[in-house]
Amino acid sequence: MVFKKTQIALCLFTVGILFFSCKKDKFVGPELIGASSDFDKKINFEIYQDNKKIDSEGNGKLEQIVFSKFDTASFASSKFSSSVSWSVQVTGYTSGAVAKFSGLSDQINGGNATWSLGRSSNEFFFQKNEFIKCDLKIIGLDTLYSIDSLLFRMPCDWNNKTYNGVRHTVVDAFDEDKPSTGEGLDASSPDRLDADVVLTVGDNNHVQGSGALLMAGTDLNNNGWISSKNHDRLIELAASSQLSNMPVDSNAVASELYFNLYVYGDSDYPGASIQLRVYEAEIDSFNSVDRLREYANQELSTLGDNVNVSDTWIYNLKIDWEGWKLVSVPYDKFKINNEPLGNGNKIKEPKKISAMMVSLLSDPTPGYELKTYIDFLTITDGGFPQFKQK
Amino acid sequence: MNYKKSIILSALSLGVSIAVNAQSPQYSLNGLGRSIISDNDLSGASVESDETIQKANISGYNLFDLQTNLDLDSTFNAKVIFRTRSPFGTSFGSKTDFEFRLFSMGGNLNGLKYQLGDIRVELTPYTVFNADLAGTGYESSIFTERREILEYENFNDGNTWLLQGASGQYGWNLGDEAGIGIYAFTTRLASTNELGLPDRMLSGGRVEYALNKSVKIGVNDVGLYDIQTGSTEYDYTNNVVTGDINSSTLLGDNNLAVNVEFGGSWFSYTQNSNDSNQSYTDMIVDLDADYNLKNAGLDIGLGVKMVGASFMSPTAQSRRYMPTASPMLFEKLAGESSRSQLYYDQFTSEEVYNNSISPTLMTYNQFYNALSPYGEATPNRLVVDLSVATDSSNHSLEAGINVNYGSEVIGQGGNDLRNFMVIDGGTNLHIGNLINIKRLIDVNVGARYENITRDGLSDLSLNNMLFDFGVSGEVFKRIDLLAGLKYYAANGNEFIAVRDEFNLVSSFIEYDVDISELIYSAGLRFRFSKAQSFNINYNMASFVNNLEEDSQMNISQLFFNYTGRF
Repeated sequence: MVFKKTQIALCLFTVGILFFSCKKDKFVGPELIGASSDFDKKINFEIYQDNKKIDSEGNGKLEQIVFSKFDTASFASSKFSSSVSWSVQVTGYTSGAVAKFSGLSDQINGGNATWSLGRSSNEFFFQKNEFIKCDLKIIGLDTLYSIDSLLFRMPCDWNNKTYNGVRHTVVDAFDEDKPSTGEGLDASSPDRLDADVVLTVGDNNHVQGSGALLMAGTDLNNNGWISSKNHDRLIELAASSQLSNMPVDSNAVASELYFNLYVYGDSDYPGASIQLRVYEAEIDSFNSVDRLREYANQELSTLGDNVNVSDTWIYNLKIDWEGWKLVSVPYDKFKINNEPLGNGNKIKEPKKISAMMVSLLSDPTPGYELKTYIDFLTITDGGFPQFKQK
Repeated sequence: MNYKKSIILSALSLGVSIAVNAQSPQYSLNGLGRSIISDNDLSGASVESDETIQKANISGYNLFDLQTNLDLDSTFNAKVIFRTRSPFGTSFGSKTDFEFRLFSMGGNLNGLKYQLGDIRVELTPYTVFNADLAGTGYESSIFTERREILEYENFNDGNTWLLQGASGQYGWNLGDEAGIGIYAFTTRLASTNELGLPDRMLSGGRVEYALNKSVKIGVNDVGLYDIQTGSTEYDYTNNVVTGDINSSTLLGDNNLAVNVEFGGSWFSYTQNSNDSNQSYTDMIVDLDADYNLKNAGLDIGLGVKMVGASFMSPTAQSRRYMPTASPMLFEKLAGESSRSQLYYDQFTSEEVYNNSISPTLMTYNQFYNALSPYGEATPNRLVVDLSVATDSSNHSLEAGINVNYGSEVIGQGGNDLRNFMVIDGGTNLHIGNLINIKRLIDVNVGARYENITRDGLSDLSLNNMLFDFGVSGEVFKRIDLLAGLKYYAANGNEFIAVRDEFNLVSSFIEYDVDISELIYSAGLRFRFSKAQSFNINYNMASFVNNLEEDSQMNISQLFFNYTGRF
C-alpha cells in the first residue's frame, strides 16, 4: 500500500520534472554581463548637444543643456575593452528628477543612449536652471564615471508639442499666482464662508516647473466646495494666435482627448476630491474653430449671452493616494453639469472647448478639512501624455 | 506542508456541533486593551554631526478593541470589532480615532457553512498562503511578544489573509471515513475609481476527496481578475490551479507522511491604451516526506520542490513585510537623509507590515532571505531540504536543524544560476520541565546562515547570518525576567531585479553590502492573570554599515506594554 502511494507520488513528480525540462527560456530579464578583472577602466564618458560636449574629466565646451531649443542630448563613451552591462543616470540636484538609460554594448553612443526632450523616469520634472549630475556605472566595476554640475538651462516647452503622435497643450503650469491672460487659470474663487481657505502657488512641493498650486481649507458651511481656479474669460482656451495652436482641433475625438493633472494625495487630509470642469462655447454663429478663435482673441469678448446656453462638463476625482500622481481623464468620461451652465445641446463637442476650472471639494462627504497640491494641468490630443521616459 | 485543515472534517464537524447546540439567541463581548509607551533615543556617529534632527522622543498609544458577538441561531451569527485608539499624550479624548476593525457574518444552512464580510482565506503554500518571515525559529520570547503586537495590528493570524467577501463550505460523508468537501470564496481586492482602475476580484476554492482517514486528494483553484469597463487602463488575469495528495501511514510504531503538490499558473496582463499584452505560464512540483520516529521522539523530513521562473501566485507570494517602507521612528538622519530599515524594525515597527495582496512581486532584500522571500511559492527555485527535529512528545526540549540547498531554475541576466544554501536550527530548553518544577525557566539558542553565489560574467557572493539567544525565567511568582539577543550580519554583492508592470525583469541594479546589527533586550513581565500582563523592557539596536564612514547608529528604547484580553 505504502509502496503504491509512493509510486504515485514519484510518477507525478517525474511528470513535473519532465514538464520543466521542456522549458525553452534561456534566462530571465535582459542579458547581464559584468566587467571582468582585466577590463580596462580607462573610459572617456561624455554628454553632447548641438555639436558641443563635455566629458567626465571636465574637458569640453558644453556648459548647459537646453531642451527648449534642441529635442535631444546624447551620451557617448570611448570603446570598452569588452561588451558589458552599463547604466547612465541623470539626477537633478534641485528637482529630484532622475532619468535612466541602460544597455549592453562595447560603447555608448547616440544610438543607445539618447536623452529625448529632457524627460525624467520618475514623477519629477527637471527644472529650469538647476544643476544635474550624469553618472555612468558599469556592472562589476567599483568606479563611477561622473559629469557633475552641468547646468540644465531650459526644459522642453510642452505647449503645442507633438511627440509619439500625441499633441500636448499646457493649460497651467501653476508657476505663478496670477498668470497673465492666456498663460493659465487667472481667476480665483474661494468659498468665503469656509475657514482657512488657501489658494496660492508655492514652491515647497511641486513636480514640474517652479511651483504648484496649494489648495486647502475647511468646509465650514458644509456645501462641499472649498475653492476654484478657472479661466476668467470662459473662452480663454480658444484664444490662440494661430489656428494650428488651438488646444483642440476640429477633428478631436472625445475618447482620445485627455485632461491631465498632477495631484498630491495626503492621508492626513482624507475626503478630498478635485473637480475638473470643461466649458464648451455654444455660439451658433461660429461655424468653425477658426471663427471661435478669432472671437476669443478679441480682448473684450466673453461668452456673454451665450453663457446660459453653453454646456459644462465635469469630472470628480477622489484623492485616495499618497504623494504625487499623474491623473489623465479622457473627455468621454466627463459628465454633464446641469446647474449652472449646462443648458446647451448636451452633446460633447471637443472643438467647442473654450475654458477650464479646477475646484477643491469635500466630496462625497462635506465638512472636511482638506489640503492638496495640484500641478501641470495639460490637455493631450491623441493619447496619454508623453512626459515620462520609460 | 502546512495545509489548511481538512475542509471535509471542518464542514462535517461544524454540522454536528450546530445540530447538538441548537440555541436561543446569544450575545457576548470580548476584546483586547493595550497601552504602549516607548521612550526612544537615537545616537551614534551617523547623527552626531547634525543637531537639527530629532534624537529623542516619547511615543505610544492606548487602544481598546471591543468585539461584539451575536449568535442568533444556528443559521446566523455576526461579530464586529469596534476600535478606539488614541495617541499617547492627548487628553480629554482629543485625536481619538474610532473605527470598525472587523465585521463578519456567518452561519450554517443545512450543512452549508457560509461567511460574509471579513473572511480569513488560506489554501496551500502555492495558492493562498501568508508566509512567515524567515528567522531562526528559536528567538527569545521578549522579541516574539513584540512581533505579536505587529502581527495583531496587521491582521496576521497563522498563514491566512484577511479579505473582504464571501465564502462557503460543504461536505458529504461517504461512510468508512471517506468524504468529499468543497470550499469556495470570492473577494474584492480593489475597487474601481470609475476611470482607469477596474474592480479587482479574487475567487477560488478547493475540492477535496478523502479516500479514508489517511489519504486525501485535493484540487485548488485561485483566480485574480479585473472587471473591465470602457475606460480601464489595464486588464489583469492570473489563475493558479494545483492538485495535492496527502497520505499518512503507520509503519510499526512510526509514521510516514507523504505530501505532493503540483500545478501551474496562467498570467495575462494587457495595457488597454496601447493594446500591449504579456502572457506567460509556469509550473510547480513539490514532494515532501516526513518520517516520525515515535520512540526516539524525532521527525525526519526530506523535500524536493521546483517552482518555475514565471510561476505567479499573488495570494501565495505577497509578503507581509515591506523592506522599502519608511520606519516612523527617527525617520531622518544627518543631512536630511532618510533612515532605512534595520533588522530591529522587522519586529518593532508597525508601518513596515503589509496586509494586502500585491498583483506583482514585491521588492525584498536578498541579504535577509534570498532563498524564499515569497515563501514556498518563490519563483525560479529548485530546492532540496532535509530536516531533523524533536516532535511534540518532548516537553523539556525542542530542537531542530534544517538544511536547504537550492538553485535557480533559469538564470537572471545570463545562463549562470544562483546557488543557495541555508542552514538554520536551534534549541529551546524548558529547564522547569526538565527538573520538574512548575516554574518558567527557558533558554533558547538559534542560528540561521545563508549563502548565495553565482559564477560567470556577472558573478556574485552574498552571506548573511542571524544568531538568537534568549532566557526567560520566573524570578518571583508571576514575575518573569526576559532577556534576548540577536546578532545579524551580511556581506557581499548582489543584483536587484527591477520588474515592470508586466512583472517581467527589465533591468538589474548591482549593490554591495557589509552590515552588522546587534540587538539586545531585557526586562520584566508581570502576569496579573492568564489574559493580562504588563511588560517593561529596555532595548538597544546598534547598526553599522562598514561601506560608509560614520555609519554607526544606535536606537535605544525603554518600552512599556500593558495588554489585557477578555
